Amino acid sequence: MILEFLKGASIATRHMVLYLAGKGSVTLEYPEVKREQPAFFRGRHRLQRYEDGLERCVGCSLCAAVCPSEAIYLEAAENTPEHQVSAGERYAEIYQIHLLRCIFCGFCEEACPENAIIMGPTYELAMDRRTDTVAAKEDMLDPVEMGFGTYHDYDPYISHVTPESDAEAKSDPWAAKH
Amino acid sequence: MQLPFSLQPLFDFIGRFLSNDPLIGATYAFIIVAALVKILLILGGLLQVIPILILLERKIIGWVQDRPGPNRAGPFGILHGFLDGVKLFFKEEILPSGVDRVLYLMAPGLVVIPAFLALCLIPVGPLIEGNNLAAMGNFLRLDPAMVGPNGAIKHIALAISNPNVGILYVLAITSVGVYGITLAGWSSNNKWSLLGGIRASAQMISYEITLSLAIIGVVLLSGSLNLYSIVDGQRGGFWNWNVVAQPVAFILFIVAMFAETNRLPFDLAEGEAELTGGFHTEYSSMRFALFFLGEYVNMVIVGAMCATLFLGGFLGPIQLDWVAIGAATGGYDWVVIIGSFLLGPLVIMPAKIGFFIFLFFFARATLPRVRYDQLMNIGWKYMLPFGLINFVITAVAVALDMMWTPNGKIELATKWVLGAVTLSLFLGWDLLYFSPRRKAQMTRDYRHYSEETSTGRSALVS
Repeated sequence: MILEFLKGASIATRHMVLYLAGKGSVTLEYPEVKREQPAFFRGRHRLQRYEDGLERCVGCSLCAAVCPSEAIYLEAAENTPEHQVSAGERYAEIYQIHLLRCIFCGFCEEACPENAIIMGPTYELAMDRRTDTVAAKEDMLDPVEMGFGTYHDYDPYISHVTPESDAEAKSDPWAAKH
Repeated sequence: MQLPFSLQPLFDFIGRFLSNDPLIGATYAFIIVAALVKILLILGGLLQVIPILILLERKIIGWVQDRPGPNRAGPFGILHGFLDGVKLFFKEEILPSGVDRVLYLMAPGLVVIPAFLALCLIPVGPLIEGNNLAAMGNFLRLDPAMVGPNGAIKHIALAISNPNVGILYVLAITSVGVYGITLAGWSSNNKWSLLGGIRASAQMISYEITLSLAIIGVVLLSGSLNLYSIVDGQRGGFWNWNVVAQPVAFILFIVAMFAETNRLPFDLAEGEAELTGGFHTEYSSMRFALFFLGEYVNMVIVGAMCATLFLGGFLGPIQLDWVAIGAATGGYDWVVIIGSFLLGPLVIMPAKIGFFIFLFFFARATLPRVRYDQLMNIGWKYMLPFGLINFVITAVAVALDMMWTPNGKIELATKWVLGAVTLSLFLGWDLLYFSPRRKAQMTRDYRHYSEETSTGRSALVS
């Protein structure tokens, strides 16, 4: 039985000594050091912009339709030449995601034809007010200065998107056909 | 070297209330005050250390599991232990309906108080006597008729109390601690708690015997139940320690020590996997914390007992003549005071206790909890026979030694031969009994047993 005890103790000792020597630890000191998330990580939602600051979202409501937990509420409004918000005909006037309902399945970003909504790398979702659980459009929209494709690296579905392809998408497809 | 004022008037003043004779009164007063000071130092010191022990336990388990352990509150997380205590203090205390009120409220105290009572026997430092006592009396400017080589008090022990039956007292008091656990389990009116309490009492009864048998070997060698005599018998250096003469008793003591304190791998009484916390399931807030306080104090005590019995107590690994060193270096007084009286309680004893405490934590991180039948098997079938064999061999060795060299002490050669014989017997038996072939057979037996029970047939019928 002594041999078994020594065997067990040697394993434990090895782990302890290696840890104290700075090897073998997988723990990150979380608030100071944060883990890099992989490209397919599905964290807090972001609404993307084009390079020139126009919103990608055209208010088509496909994300709201596909959402399995009905966490997305969206009201669209018409773009006017004086008030051009998005690159399409319409834009999302109200865009809300209920983060307590959201199951972070990523269907919204898959359904989005404009690559407007993506799931970013942010996983720190704790909030201390009930009202914060509903993310408004302003909370999710990239600031203008962040520019084009901030989160491209995080989204496999739009990683093929380039400024050129965006320019093509922005040009009115109806005008070309008719 | 003298204090700028004398302490004698204080003792004279208190002594007036104790006796008509001023000298006897002052002596009593000195004994009482000295005991209070020692209690304050030892108890207070221990209570300060316990939060750090809790933190260390979590840290060491973390390191073994490749984690840093708690490191958020304060530098290196040193505030975690204190904050745990603060949290437990401010939690709501729930008194479940249906409990036996008196026993339920009393049980945590029954765990903690015996733990503290056993503490006062531990010799943390040497006896102050002879010239040293005279020097101390001179420093405090005491009456030589009261404290001094020829005074009423001829020696002062650096332990709270120094009775002649020290070992018996410690054994008796530590066994009382199990009443607290058993009564906590019983009074909770909860079947899992009750099971935990019953387990604790059965385990304590089983391992107390081994513990006593391990101690008997040491008592035979030193010829006394007094803890100071036992330590004195180990003077001379680490090759004189009882661990050399009684390695098997040392191993048995360590195993029994784990069972006595209900620590992993023998914490069947808690058994959170099967008993939802065992005897303390129904406890909350500070009463819950008291159980842990008792457990940690118990760990310190059995560690200190093991150090005293087997590792030379407050004696250093090599005996140095501090008076000679003091004379050689010139700073006589301070070298002697630090070397002979402060080194033991402040460095050597904490280091030895710390070693055993580390062993407790390390074992918790290393070993899984044993099954209850395994616990009983280890206790009764393996450890008890070995305790008896060790006892008999030691008795024979001591008798032979006294016959051949009747000088009142055990020769070093006898100790070494005794240690070598018992240790080789133990290791030889262990390696043969748990040979690979036998282990395979045991595994087959266990599989057979578990298959039968899992298919619904009773193992007893077949």
